[in-house]
Amino acid sequence: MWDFFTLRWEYKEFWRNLIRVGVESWLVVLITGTFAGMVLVVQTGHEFQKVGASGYIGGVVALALARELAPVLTAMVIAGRIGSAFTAEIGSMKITEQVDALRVMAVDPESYLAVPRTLALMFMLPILTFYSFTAGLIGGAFVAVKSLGLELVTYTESIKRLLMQKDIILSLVKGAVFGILIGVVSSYNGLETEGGAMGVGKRTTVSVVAAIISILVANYLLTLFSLVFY
Amino acid sequence: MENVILRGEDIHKSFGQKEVLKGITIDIRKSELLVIMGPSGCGKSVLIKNLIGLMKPDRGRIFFENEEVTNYTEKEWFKVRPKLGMLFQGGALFDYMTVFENVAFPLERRGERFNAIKEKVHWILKKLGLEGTENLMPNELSGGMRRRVALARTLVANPLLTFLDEPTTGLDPVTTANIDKLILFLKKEFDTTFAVITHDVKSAFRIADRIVLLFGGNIVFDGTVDEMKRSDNPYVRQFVEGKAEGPMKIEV
Repeated sequence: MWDFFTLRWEYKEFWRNLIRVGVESWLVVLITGTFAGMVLVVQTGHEFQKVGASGYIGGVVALALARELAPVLTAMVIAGRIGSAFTAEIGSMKITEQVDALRVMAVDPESYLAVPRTLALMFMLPILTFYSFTAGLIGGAFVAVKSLGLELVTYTESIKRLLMQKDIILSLVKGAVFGILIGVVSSYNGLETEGGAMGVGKRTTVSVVAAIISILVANYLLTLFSLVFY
Repeated sequence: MENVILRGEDIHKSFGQKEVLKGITIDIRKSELLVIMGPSGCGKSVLIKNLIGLMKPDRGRIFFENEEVTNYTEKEWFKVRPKLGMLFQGGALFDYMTVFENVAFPLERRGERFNAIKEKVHWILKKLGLEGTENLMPNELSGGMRRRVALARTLVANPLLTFLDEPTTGLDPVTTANIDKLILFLKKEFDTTFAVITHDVKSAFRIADRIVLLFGGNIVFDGTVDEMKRSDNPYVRQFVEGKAEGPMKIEV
């Protein structure tokens, strides 16, 4: 695995997978982001209004989304949607000897299959995270205005007051790190697949579970680490 | 020996408790068509995979063009492999690529220009009777066609030594005969050396210069087609005549 990033990476495969990750996951990311924002406003809204803190609703939602929910939820959804597909795909290439065929043609399976996928996720996940964050803010605004009767300006002003640039940066960094994690875990499990269709199924499950757990652990560590800068 | 391209010496390989290869020594000579025969599960594919470095033997040595390659790392193997070709049992076509992209793949990897690639791919597809399939996906092809596309991908890079792992198994006798004809034609056309795995005796007699019979992890016969036909080696007789009784005991 130390070889992983020193190997040359493949532009064609990288672009193919980059586009694929984006196209296949924008809708599911949109839905999760929107509903996360909406439910946050529902949960915080009434309590905040009771204590006369309506002016904080937007800001709190934005912070929660940027720092935690957008990166973590997006990564989880991508682990399920794309990570599983990567493992199953590479795994079935392994059991049908396509990986061996690559080796015979003097193509390194790690640099041809694993590296471009991992890099595609590393670049795409921050974009999707930001997209999910935006969707969450809009979803939240919708609930705040329609159901809590908040002025839209109050909501947006509150965001401007509380949300800092570093929160967005943390969000994007988390996205990139989670992307690498999903890419490495799913490719590794794909390349280690053995034993027919059952093996592919087993590895895919292992891959998704391992990716989700490593995302949660990494998230905790990154959050701790980020406190140094606050 | 001068005309030996690839030599495996005393190759041993086990999987867990099961000893699959028990010290096989095999030579592949320049421009010959060697057929490796033996019942299913006797280790033919494992032997080939050891010879081209897809597996590492537990014991024994491998020489390619008189250079020892036994302990080559994957990276070192990459320098040798452009001279080798291999047709896998299932074809191992990349299922997310079209026929054209599959066949073009090894050339693309060598950094050839697109026009040259296009020309070569069309040429080999035509030779193999696959014109008009360029834009099809592998799952849109019949079994025989898929085998031929895989063959095209193996041969388009013009390897010095080509391994074919059961190129005709599971195909009807007519398609089998056609592929055999094709192999002989390609051998003449490219002057490639072939090592072909099969358990089809008829097919082996049609194409082989030399036949090796594998059983129980050992070579039990090594000779020409005529020698095999005349041999009274009990293993050979049982295999050629396809009898259940004989020295080859196969657990069913």
